[in-house]
Amino acid sequence: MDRAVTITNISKTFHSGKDAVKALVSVNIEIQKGEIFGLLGPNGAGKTTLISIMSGLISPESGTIIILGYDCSKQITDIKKHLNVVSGFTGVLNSLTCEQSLTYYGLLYNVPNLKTRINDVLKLTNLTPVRNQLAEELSSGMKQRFMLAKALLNEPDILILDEPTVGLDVESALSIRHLIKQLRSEGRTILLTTHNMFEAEELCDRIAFINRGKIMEIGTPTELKRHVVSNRLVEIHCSEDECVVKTLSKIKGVSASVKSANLVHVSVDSYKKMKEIMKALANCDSEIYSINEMEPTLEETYLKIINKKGKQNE
Amino acid sequence: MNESISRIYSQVYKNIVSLRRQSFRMADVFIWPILYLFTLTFFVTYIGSDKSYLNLIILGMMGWRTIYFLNLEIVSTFMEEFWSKALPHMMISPISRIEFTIGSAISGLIKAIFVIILYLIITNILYGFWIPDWGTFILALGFLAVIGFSLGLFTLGLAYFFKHDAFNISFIIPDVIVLISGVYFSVESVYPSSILPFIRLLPTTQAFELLKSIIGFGQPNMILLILLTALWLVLAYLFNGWMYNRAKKEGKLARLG
Repeated sequence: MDRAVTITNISKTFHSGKDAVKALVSVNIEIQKGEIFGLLGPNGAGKTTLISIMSGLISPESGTIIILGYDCSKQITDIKKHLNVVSGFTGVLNSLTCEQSLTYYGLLYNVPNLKTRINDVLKLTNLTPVRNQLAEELSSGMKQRFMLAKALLNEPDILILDEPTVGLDVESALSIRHLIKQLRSEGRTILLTTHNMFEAEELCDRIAFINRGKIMEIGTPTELKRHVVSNRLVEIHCSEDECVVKTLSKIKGVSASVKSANLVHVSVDSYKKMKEIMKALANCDSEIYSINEMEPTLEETYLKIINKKGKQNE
Repeated sequence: MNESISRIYSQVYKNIVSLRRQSFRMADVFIWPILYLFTLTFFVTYIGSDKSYLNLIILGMMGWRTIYFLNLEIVSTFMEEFWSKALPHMMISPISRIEFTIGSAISGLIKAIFVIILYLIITNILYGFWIPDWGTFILALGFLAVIGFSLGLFTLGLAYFFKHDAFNISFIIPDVIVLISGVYFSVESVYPSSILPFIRLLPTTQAFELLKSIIGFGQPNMILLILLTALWLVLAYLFNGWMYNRAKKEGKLARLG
């Protein structure tokens, strides 16, 4: 797969009087074409600084960013033609209707066949009925869809979504996520920053955890979860929980405990033990209704990585 | 459409289309210039001075409005994006700072031309005012437009960093020019001879001298006017670029988060 973005050793320090805040410290990321890449981290971790550098709003202190073969420090205008941003924190222009605003943004990107393109993005984002309404009067959910419509005008190869569902109700967030999935199917490269772990897990092909300006870990959601879990957790739904615990506790490397009535949690140090567990359960007097592997959530993984690496850095 | 022209036109489109929904900006074109015109012309009529002084006031107002609109439009176009929190959308687009400045200056020029035409019609009907030398009149307004553009570039440079404070400055500058460049009077008759050389070294003074010369009040130094106008333009361009890069470095240009 081709690389869409290559970030190499990007550092940025902000100075305020005598104070210096390291916003980014030697950040290295590669984003492949067509993938949704998640950037997750607490407030002040450096996510916004990184996407601001990529969009040409801030110049880096050191390092290079290559986007679609263009160097961010020398060819930012070329990059801007192929990139767009949706941010949950930006506003819409006052005194312009949705259609007028889109015409304005279309002119900024010199979009060919602008009227047709505006019709297309309005249709895609279900905003056609409000095309003549003032953009500032739209509801939060509609405004966010409008931002997406604006960001899609220039048919960007790379789309940066900075907390696109922040502050939205469940229904609006769902419709934005649905749109993002649709964009992925079109083959666009998407960089997504979010605090919503469920959203990240649902949408992202790969994720980078960032904290205090440093990349802590990069991988697919499954890889990241495996990285932090030393033992596998298996949940057994049965008729005689005490019997199951007694049977399984005899196996070396396995520890079992009753989680609640008829529910046993089993910690296994290796998948190789699963065959032994199944054999033991077959000889047990209890009925076995189901056996499920319990994965850690992305949220648990995130907290473990952030806290673990945070302590290492202190 | 050529890419650059499209981006320049985007600013003209935005400013003109949004004008009818912005009462403050509408008043700036339709109400304040008329009130200002009548305030000064009524006063001159009241004190019963020579009609040439009335003409001086009318010409001065036309020239001043040119500087005012060019300078203010550049900064207010930027500030309106900032106030509506939409500035990052524009700053991440391929528009360059020069394309932005030219685009907003063009919409300022359109407003200035509209107000000047309005002045010409009203003053012709009420006072029989007319331009005796159209060539010099347009040339003088052209210089004033370039100077207004330079001032806009300068104030925009401040706005990258200081936002609201820079906007306040953009309102103050044209009024200071009225005083130090003798928009409605002769600088020789007001300022002491020790200060006059400095006053004459302002392109605004020379441009207003050219404008006033149409009715026999000014004595412009054309070489000085050309050189000073060009110098201000170059300095303003360099200052704007320096401030832009500084703001970009310090993360003050626009914020996504």
